[in-house]
Amino acid sequence: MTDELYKEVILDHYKHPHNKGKLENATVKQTEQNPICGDVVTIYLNIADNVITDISFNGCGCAISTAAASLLTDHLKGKTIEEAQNLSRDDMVSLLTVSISPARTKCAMLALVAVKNGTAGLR
Amino acid sequence: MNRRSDFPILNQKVHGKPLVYFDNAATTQKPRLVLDAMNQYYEHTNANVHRGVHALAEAATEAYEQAHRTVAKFISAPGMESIIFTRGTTESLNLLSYSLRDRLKKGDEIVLTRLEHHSNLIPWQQAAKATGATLKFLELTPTGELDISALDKVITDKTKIVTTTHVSNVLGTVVPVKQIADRAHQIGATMIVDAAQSVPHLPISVKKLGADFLAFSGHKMYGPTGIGVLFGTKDALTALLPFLFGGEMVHEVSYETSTWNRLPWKFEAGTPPIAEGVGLAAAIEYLAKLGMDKIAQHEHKITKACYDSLKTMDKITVLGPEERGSLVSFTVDGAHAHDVAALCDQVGVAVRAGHHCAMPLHLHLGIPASTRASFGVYSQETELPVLYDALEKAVRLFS
Repeated sequence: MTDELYKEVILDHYKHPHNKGKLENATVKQTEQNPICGDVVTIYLNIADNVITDISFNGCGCAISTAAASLLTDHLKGKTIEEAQNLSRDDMVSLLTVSISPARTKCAMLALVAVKNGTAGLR
Repeated sequence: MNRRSDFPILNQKVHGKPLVYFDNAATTQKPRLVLDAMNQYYEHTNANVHRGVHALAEAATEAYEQAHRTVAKFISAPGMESIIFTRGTTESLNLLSYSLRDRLKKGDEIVLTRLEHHSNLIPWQQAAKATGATLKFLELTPTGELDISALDKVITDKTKIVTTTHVSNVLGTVVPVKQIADRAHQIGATMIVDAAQSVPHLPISVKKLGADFLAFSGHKMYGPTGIGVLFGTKDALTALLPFLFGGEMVHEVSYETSTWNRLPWKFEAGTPPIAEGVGLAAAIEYLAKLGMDKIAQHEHKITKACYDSLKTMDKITVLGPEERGSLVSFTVDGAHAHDVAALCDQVGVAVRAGHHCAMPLHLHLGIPASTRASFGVYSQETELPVLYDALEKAVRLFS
């Protein structure tokens, strides 16, 4: 953990996000918004035999929410729905490798909330 | 003008840096004398108003009524009976949107502007839904001014209510209220002004503006939270039905029916915000002593300096017209408003990020969010370079 919020890893994933774009014919498509700051993220998931075979995201958001979506989608490829459902705020913070203040928690969690809500009925 | 030392909260460091408080359009800090006045009230005067015959009740009632007179004088209103204390601008506007519904029917029109804060939009959406009236909007010019040329076309014989912000909390646009009020009155419509962003920063006369109703908040003008004002002309308030019912607002009550108290108490049901009224009066006396003309000049100078500097900065887009109230909103290419505000915070600068409770306006402008620096009596031009440095860093990191 570091006090510097905008570390290279965050800025890299913000400027060059991984898995950005629509996934055609996705099994699951889930959009979440943070009305306070106007962040929107849509998560696309392909799921086969309870395993996330492909995942991507679209949307517009701050550096934290964008980097979180980028890192999370990397992390979840090949994982099971249960593994995705079991991810916590701490897990998300570990993926980001920066400390997240309460005011930015919603940004950090937006993509994970979309994944969880999108896959909640599939367990 | 340098009033920093009047405000205890400003004497602190944030993340190790001196606090630069540029979030005054959201809420202002409180001068020592407002805190003292409220403390003094609770330590020596506190009692319920308008119902006791004991010494404290009389003193509390006098202080509370005097607060109404102080507000009335400050906005050149005729007297105490034209001043209703509410919880804030939002409640003042909700009161109107409920109590004016009996005048609305299907086909009637309520005219607003594209600039409105959620608090002067949603209450009218609800009133329109309940009555079958429709909403119409005065549009913006490309520079963010109101397109006044369409005034006669938008405000028609069908218009029953016209309501506008005085100063936009996002673009800073100063709305020509008088011109709109004249047109509204020409066709017999009621004129409402959301003055939350103007009363703290400009000399205000309800007469000169031509407002039938005018709403503002205590906490944005160096007073406490939990108190706001609804001004109404005598005719307008006399014709208006009460909004909240209960104690204090009644004259005679039987099990079957009730009659209403005289103005302004007809609109103040329940135990009112008494200490907050005392605090607001202290804030107003503070502002009156500094002089609203001088405050306006001071804030105009720092706002212009900020506007001019941001205009010259690469990758930064300033929103709204050049002539403006005491705020500057902007976007930074490639950077989200939240990240810009976080970088400002790291060097002790408090600014607002988001859509500032004006989501439709941001959609209208085609931007997801903006960052806003807004100024007050204690703001100093010497504080601006700290903001500029943070913005340069934002450009460096994100653009």
